[in-house]
This record gives sequence, C-alpha cells and structure tokens, in this order.
Amino acid sequence: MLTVVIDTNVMLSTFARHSPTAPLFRAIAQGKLNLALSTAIAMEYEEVAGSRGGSAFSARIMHWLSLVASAHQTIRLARQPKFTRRRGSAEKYKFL
Amino acid sequence: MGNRIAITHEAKAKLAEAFQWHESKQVVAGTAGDRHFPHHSKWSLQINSLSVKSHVMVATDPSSLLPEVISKVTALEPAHLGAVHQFLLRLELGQLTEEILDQGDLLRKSGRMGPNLIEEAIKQHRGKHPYPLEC
Repeated sequence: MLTVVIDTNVMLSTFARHSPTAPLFRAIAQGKLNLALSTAIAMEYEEVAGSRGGSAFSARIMHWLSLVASAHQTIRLARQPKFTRRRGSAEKYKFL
Repeated sequence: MGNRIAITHEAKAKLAEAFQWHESKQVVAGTAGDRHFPHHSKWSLQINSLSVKSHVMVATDPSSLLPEVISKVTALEPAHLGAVHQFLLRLELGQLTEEILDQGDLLRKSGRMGPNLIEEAIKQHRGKHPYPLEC
C-alpha cells in the first residue's frame, strides 16, 4: 500500500466535498493509503486547522487521525522528517 | 430484495392473524383492508395488492434495539468483541469523515478556508516552529 506524507495546505484543502483533493481524504479514511505522520506534522495540522476553523474543528481533525490509526492501523509514525532545500523553484519551498 | 410470492385474500387474512400478537408494537408497516401489519415482527410484511415481501427482521426503534444489541454484545466471545469494536470504530470514522467534510464546506463558503489564508497560517506556524533543514 502506498505511504504518503501530506503537507498541511494539501491536507486542509481535502476537507471539502468538491475539492479536487477530497478523494485523498476519503482514501485515508477508508484505509486505502498509509499516512506518514510525525509529531511536528500532526501539531501543524492541529494548529493551522485551529487557526482557520476554530479549536473544535482542529479537535475533530485530531480525533479523526486517531480513529484512522485505530480502525485501519494505516498511520505510520515517523521521527522528525528532514527536508533538503535545493536550488530551484521558489514556489516549491515557499513555506520553508 | 425480498421474495415476492402471490397469495390469496384468505392466506393474507391468516397471515394477519398469525402476526396479531405483535400488534402491541407501535410501528405499522402496511395495511390490508382494516388490518394493520406491525413493522416489528419476525417477518416484516409489506402488503402490495396480492403479494408479500418477506425480509429478515430489522428493528428500527432505538428503544427496543439498544437492549437487544447490548445483550448480544455482552454475550460475545473476546475475538468477536474485537470485531464489533473494529466495526464501531469504522462506523464512527465514517461519520466523522462526513462531518469534517460538511464543516470544511461551510468554512470554505464563509471564506475562512481559502488557500491564501491557509498558506499564511502555515507560514506563521513555521515561523514559530521551523523544521530543521539540511542545506
């Protein structure tokens, strides 16, 4: 099964029925993909979701992640991911 | 889909009598003349002209369903209990997924979940908690 790391902006964009990335959200919910997650990434999901949708929304997202982990065992916990900054597209590294 | 079998008026009346003891239950699924056929019966009947659809019983009233489910769950073996727990987790996950999608739609419509706002929130977060970079 494919293991994916999902950046926060992509993850938040999946939370809408008509979003082009919504199938990604459903695929994770159905256990069709492994989601690689570190503490830092989970905290970022939580904080950014909370800043845009409120604390109740971010709590739901975290509960959803824990349910995915319990129901499908498809959350792959990783240590701190390492990113390599390379020359090239500024757009690609706009968050770094 | 249930099996459809043709029955006579007489057979229909006998069926109605056979199920009369269930009529203390409150839900009525179908009628034939002045007879009422209860929903909550061993075979839920739906009278369509001269045919009967037979279904496996499905109780829909939560007040009668809950004790039945609890008694069944308490009698389960540990391995089966694990399977029920897994089922309940997946059920909850499915519900929560739909709720998050609903809430996400509302946030998008209200303009609070626009791409630019998300990017700005990420930049703020990473400004406070930068990832270690290998350059």
